[in-house]
Amino acid sequence: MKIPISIKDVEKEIENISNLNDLQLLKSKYLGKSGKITSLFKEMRNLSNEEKKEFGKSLNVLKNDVEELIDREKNRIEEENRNMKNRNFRDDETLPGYYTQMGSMHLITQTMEEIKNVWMNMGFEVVTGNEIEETYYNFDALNTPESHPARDEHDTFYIDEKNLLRTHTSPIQARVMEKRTPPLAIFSPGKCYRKDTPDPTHLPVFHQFEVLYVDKFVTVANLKACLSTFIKKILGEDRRIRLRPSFFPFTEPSFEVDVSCGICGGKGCRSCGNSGWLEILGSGMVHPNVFKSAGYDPNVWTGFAVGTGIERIVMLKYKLDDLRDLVRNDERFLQTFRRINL
Amino acid sequence: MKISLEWLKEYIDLKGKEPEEISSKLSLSGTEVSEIIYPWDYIDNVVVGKIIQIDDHPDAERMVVCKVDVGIGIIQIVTADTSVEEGDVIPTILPGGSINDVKMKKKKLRGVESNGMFISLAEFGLEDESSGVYRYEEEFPIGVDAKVTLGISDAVLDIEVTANRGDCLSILGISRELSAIYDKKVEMKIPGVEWGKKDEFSIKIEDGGCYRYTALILENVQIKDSPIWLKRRLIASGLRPINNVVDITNYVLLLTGHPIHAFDLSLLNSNEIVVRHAKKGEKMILLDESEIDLTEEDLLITNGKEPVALAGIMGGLNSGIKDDTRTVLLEVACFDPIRVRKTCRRLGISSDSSYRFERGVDTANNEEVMSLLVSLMNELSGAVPRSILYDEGKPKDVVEVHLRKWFVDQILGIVVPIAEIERILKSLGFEIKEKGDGWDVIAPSYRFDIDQEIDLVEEIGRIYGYDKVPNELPRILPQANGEPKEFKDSFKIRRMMNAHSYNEIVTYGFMNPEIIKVIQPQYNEQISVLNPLSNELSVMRPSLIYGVLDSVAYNFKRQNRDVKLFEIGHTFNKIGSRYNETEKLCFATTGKINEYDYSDKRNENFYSIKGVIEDIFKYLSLEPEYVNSNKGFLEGRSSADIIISDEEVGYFGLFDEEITKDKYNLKNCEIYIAELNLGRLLNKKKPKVIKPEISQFPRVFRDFSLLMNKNLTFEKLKQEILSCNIKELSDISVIDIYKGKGISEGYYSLTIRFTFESMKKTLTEKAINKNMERIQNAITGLDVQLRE
Repeated sequence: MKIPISIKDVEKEIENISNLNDLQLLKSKYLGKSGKITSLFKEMRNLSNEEKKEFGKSLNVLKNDVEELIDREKNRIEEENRNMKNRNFRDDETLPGYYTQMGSMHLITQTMEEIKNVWMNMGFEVVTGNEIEETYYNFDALNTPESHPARDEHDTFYIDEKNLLRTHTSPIQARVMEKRTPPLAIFSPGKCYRKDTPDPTHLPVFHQFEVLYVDKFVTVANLKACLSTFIKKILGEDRRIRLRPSFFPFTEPSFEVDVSCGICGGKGCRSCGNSGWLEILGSGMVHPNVFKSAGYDPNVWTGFAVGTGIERIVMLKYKLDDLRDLVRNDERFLQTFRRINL
Repeated sequence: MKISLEWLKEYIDLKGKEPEEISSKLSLSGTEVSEIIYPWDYIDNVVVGKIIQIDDHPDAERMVVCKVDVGIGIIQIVTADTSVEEGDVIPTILPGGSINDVKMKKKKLRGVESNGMFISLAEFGLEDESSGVYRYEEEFPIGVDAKVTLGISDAVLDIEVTANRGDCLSILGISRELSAIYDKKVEMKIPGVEWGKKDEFSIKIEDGGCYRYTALILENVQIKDSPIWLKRRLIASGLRPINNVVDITNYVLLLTGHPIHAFDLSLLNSNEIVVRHAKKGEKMILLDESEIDLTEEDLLITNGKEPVALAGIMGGLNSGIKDDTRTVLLEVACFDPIRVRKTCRRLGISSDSSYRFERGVDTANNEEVMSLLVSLMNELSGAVPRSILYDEGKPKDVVEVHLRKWFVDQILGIVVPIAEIERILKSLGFEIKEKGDGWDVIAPSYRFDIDQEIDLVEEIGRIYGYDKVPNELPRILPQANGEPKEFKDSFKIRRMMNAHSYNEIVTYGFMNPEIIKVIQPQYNEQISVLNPLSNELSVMRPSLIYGVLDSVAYNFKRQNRDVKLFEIGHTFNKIGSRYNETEKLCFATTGKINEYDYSDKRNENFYSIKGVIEDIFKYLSLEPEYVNSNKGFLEGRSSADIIISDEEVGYFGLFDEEITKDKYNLKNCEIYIAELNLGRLLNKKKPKVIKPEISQFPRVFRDFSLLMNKNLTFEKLKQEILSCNIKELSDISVIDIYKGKGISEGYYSLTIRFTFESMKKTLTEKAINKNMERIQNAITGLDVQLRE
């Protein structure tokens, strides 16, 4: 018996089909329960064994071919449908995307936060205070008597006879010492005021942090180690420090602390004035008179204090050449220092 | 202060020490050297030359042609000084050398080659005017550096002395420091001098501000130029030579650090010196011809009647040294540093003398200083003492301190050898006597910074060297307090503002009071600075809006139309007589809501800024009320006040457009601004335990379009619905708002989404419909209709 259907007939029919529905109809027309090919298989039982064998073989080939043809066509139509559906193709992969931009934290805040974390990790607690401060806590309690030049109207903004705009954050420490007993390890950040006309290296309003550690047997060696840790964490592990004896009324001995120049590594270059060192902060061992003001026995307690302007560190770290940029608040400047890793 | 190494070397052996090394040693022991200067480096490559032959110039009568031996060879120089003679030895600039940046090149003078230049003293600054080239009187080898022969080749150190170390403001003071650093002796001889006879003169001190007053009269004084060696030392120290008498007083001042004043006795018009404070209303004219008004705080040197000098600061015009002065009264005195400083500050003047008195001057060396003065006066002006040494007042008491050896080690954190401690203290002029666990130490009379044990530890530390101290981390007990909650919270608020695209700014704490009058005219609790830098920076800010608005304007004027800024900082006000500080958050925005999404054309508006505020309150777990605001500086219909339990904690809205235009000069600029009282909010923040209640059963949304009367608030509608207490209603949110076509006058369309969910079961259609019915019933009393 000859197979009355050829693959060519199916191919012809498929050419006119453009959707999955029609394809499904075509599939049942040939391969469905009562489809043409299915029916032919049913007719096989009337054939002799020999005929059955040959007919069956050809019919199977046909069936496989049709199945394959329909599958291929199905994939083609599906692919076409997908393409029809996705009308939202990009026009140009180089056009920018839409986004919401993170804002920036001010360089002063970022730096203060970094510095705070270093000291907190060494065991210091944060204490804050007011910007309008009593003259007593700003000066007298810190061994700076009335005759001292720092108390002059040329250097300090006064509010009235008893109050001023704090010139450093040390009054916070004086207040803490008055209220609490040692040991103490405090970090006090904040805004401070000094009577400087704004120029590239001075602002009348600036930010400071100060550190105070009071305990038994605190030494210059302890101070050096804390300073060195602080500098390395903030400015880089390759930086070194040196203590240069200086004078502050509330510490004795007092030190200016220099950090090795980040550009020349200490060899001397233009940006460090050929010295290889840059002045970064003031520090010293707490003066016994300060302990006496606080009611601590200077024969029992010793300690160190560290303090500097955040602006100075910002200037060194980010190589700014005009501090006034920090208070102009140009968004372009602010966004330059956008960080999200805080 | 400028310290000449050439001068220093007279008193201390610095052989083989480079200026850089000396500077570094001084800096690391507390005397900062800010610069190393070579005052004569404007003349370069100048040697001792000898004229071996002189010929006439073929074309110029006023010039001669010299053959000059300059050591390395013979050069030809044409000079206009026709008085030169063969055999003259003259400082000569070699070819390739320079003076004042002019390089010596081969050139022709009237056709004759000239390859160098002879130098006069005027060119070295050692003479006002020179009549010709300088001819050496002494013998020097030909070809050596001429600057060496004149003593002007050495470096000068510019030093900065801390306020407590007035004793270092002299050649002698720096010599003492170097003596301790290098372990060398200071070699200084005080000349023996015989004073004159007692005469009719007297000194009276009537004010305790003068500790000691020493004086002497010199006669036969001849005013003339000082010799080169003296001039070069003054010049190297930054002073201008004037005449021998004035120069000697300056010289001894620089040498010893003790200021000196010289009066012309004939102009004093009296036989006495009276030191007293000024009388009210008294005036005087100073040497610099300025007239000053005096107060009772000022200390004066008078002739018994009128002032002749402002003590320790400046002489008077009437009694100074003149060219014909023959008799001089020399003053070596000691004054109260604070009195001198106060007068100087008030009058805005400072002198080499006052600079030292302000920092403390030795009260025990007056006689030695006078001896140095008299001996130099005699040598350089022929003067002889006419009077005895008048000496009123007395040196200050010595300071004695006990120093414990273990205390030194305990503070420095290192064991300092006993011999080192003793050596350092002795070389700095301290007298020490072993006693008990250490020493009794007497400070030298020129040290004003020593009054207790710790001061001696510093002396030992700074000379011994802090580089020898090791790094040893202390064992700090952990501080349970960490950082205050408010400090941490305000940092988190900063982060939130960043997430909303706002950039943080920092502004000054003080501001211009004029703008407060415009923006908050009723505000009258402001705090003024007594001594401001300017009126623009004279009152403490009562609010952060001023700084924020200034910064918005700054950016807007620089073509930045989309601005988002915030500040967190203190604001100030007065409550009675108390000053109060409050931490606030202020933010402002103008332009697009999202500058970086170009598909989003929306501009900032009331709701966009309110959204930021609501987000902050969600973070704080606070539910504020928003009510009508009547802040004068906000547009009433685009603003609101924020209330929590009847207390205003902030406000926000559109900033007054008139003020934006007229006061900030911004055209077409809509600024939305908000200010929150962060201090109050962070206090109110509820420590809420957040327990997530998320149902495992499906949620059902029902959207509901309502036609709302404009006078009805969403808040009111919400409250009515919530009053039904529908357990399964988990959220009410706004998903659309529509005004315009098809909506009747006085109404707007609001689409609300209700979310229903149950923790226990899947909600049936029936149950939800029942709830929706309850909602509809609840709002029937309001002027609101269901839209189809």
